[in-house]
Amino acid sequence: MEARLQVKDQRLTEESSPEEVKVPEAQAELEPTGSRSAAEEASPHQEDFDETKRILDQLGKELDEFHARPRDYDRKRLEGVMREFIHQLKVILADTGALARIQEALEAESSGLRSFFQKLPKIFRAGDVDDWGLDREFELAIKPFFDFMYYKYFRVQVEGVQNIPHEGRCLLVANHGGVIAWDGAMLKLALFDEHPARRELRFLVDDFVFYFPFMGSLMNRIGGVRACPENAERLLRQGEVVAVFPEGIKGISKLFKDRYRVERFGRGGVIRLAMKTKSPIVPVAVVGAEETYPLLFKSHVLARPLGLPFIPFTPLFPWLGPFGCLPLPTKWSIRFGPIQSFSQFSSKDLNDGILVNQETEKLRELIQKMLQDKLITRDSVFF
Amino acid sequence: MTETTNSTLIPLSPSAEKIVVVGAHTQLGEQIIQELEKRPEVKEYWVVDLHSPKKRAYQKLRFIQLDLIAPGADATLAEELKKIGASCILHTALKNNPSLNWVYAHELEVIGTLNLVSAAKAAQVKKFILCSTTAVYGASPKNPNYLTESHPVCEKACSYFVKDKIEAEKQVLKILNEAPQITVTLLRFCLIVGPRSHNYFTELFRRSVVPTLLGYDPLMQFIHERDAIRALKLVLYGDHPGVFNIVGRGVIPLSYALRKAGKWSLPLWPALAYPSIQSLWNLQMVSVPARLLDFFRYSWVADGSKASEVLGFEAKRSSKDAFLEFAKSERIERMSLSA
Repeated sequence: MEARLQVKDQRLTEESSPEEVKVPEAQAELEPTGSRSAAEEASPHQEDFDETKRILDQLGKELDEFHARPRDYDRKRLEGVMREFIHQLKVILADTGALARIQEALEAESSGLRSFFQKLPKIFRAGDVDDWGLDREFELAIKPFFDFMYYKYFRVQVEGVQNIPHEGRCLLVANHGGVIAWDGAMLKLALFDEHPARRELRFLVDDFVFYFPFMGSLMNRIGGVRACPENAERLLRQGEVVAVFPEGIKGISKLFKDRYRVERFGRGGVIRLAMKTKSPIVPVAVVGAEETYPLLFKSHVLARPLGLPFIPFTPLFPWLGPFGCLPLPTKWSIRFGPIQSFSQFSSKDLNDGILVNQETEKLRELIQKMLQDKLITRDSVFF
Repeated sequence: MTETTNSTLIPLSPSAEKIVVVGAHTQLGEQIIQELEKRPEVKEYWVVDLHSPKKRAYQKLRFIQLDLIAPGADATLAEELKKIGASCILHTALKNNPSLNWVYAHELEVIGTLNLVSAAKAAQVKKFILCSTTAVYGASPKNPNYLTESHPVCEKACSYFVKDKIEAEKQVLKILNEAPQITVTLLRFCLIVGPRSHNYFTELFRRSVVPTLLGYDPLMQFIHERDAIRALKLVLYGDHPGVFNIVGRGVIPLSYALRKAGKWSLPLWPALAYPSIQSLWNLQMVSVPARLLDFFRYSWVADGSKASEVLGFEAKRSSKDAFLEFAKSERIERMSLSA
């Protein structure tokens, strides 16, 4: 690099006395053209230096021409080369990281609104995210709130969390309840706080959420991923724990009288997914979630213009306005069932609709039974 | 150093003997010409455009002046190509920026590509490369987080900018049926950023205030211009038929990008943003028409694993690094080292 910088200096001095310019040979000695492309891949800045050298060459030629015939020379050409040269200098500054340091120095004492915004707590600004949009700093910033909901508000009791493998992919299948689904967040906390390996949970979120402002990106930052087979498959192949709520919207729109009656599990996508990726399934029964918002009736007609799947009417909502969004402080219990392996199925079974359906029904019944067992033994909804 | 020298020079395949670059003034066209100029084995190459690249003196460049949308352009071009004995056509003449004159843009991208494809078939070239964009998948909340090449393109795209790209792609993919002996490569680049790149996104980010949509913070994906050129060189010098997404690793949220670039964001209520941006666009005060705002609202991240498996292409800079590098160079451009 030193050699190259020397060349540059040499050129700069030569510009003042352009009659003596004999650059191309000098450069050819310093760097044979053959090795150029090889070196270019070796360091990203090499290309910049080459480029600079080329522009300097051209500058030399233009100056030669100017001094040969000063009257005929079109000065615009020289200006063009100079502009290019300055642009190149800027590129080099940027590429070598010198700019960042200049910027730091310039901004060191800057105050005012911009730095005020920079100092805002993490909640208000996005940080670095992983491939799926999960922002760990943001997650930690809002964790105290969810901790409060988990330990103080819902007083979640967890059973059988050791059924989840310590590493590798795993699919959690749970019942879905409550109009605003808190069960995803609580499951995530249960895994993070109570599992010995502190596993990180990704949950699949229904499409309609991503149409709405704030909700979509919020869900995304805390580990929610749009529910579609491509995403689920990719997550599992990466060895993540993925929670799915196969009841979907049917689950969260259950009327109060239908609570804890597990709905049909979509079209068997969960089982297909498990068969395809050979992931084990852990069935999960969440008790308590389905009583957080006792849904008296719902309106599909009113919801259509808003793009919502339905508008809920609970004893509190919409009569109390935003306070109606508060969940009832029910006592929750999350039970993780025995792990179900799907490795015995081959890719042929994927297309066997009847088999997939049977397996789906089996899984649904298992979760229903786990729910029943817990419901019989609990004393009260709130304690 | 030894390990890098082995992998540096991609051997020239026979189909890369006589390269014709179509479109010399697009961000990729401009840079690939400079690459060809540097490459010692390339003795000469041809450029088809309306105006010759004047930026600097190119030694090996042979210029063919041609208006792609003029009547009879296909026949003239076919004649020229036959005369040269062209073996490879690199089509970069798709617009980087949406244009207010969308009728002309449509003519250039769709009819121009049509003419070019028929000329290529008539002249029996060996390879045809098209540089497209991942915007053809469309931005939608229904997209999976990583769009693969097999994902259908967004037929219902409302933006002419994207629609024309899809049409152009279709024209090129037709070659597969009509002239199967031609190697067809279709590269879909995500947002290209870098000091030399000029597209609607970089133009937007060269302002100090960037309009955003309130409550939407999509994950964005970038590729550095040098990585883009590296990928282009791979398919230009070697033979790799197929469609490839050329993207950088990882994603960053739009708000993070704004903060890192030191920009003010102007969050607009979506219902208000579309008409106001459209009127600003009509006055040419923003670089994005309202119909492209969906790309700043929903996800359209593409998956680059096919390129890494088949081409062996890995972007050297992740999305984040590429963007940060762009942000830095953008800042220095604003600092006035006036000449």
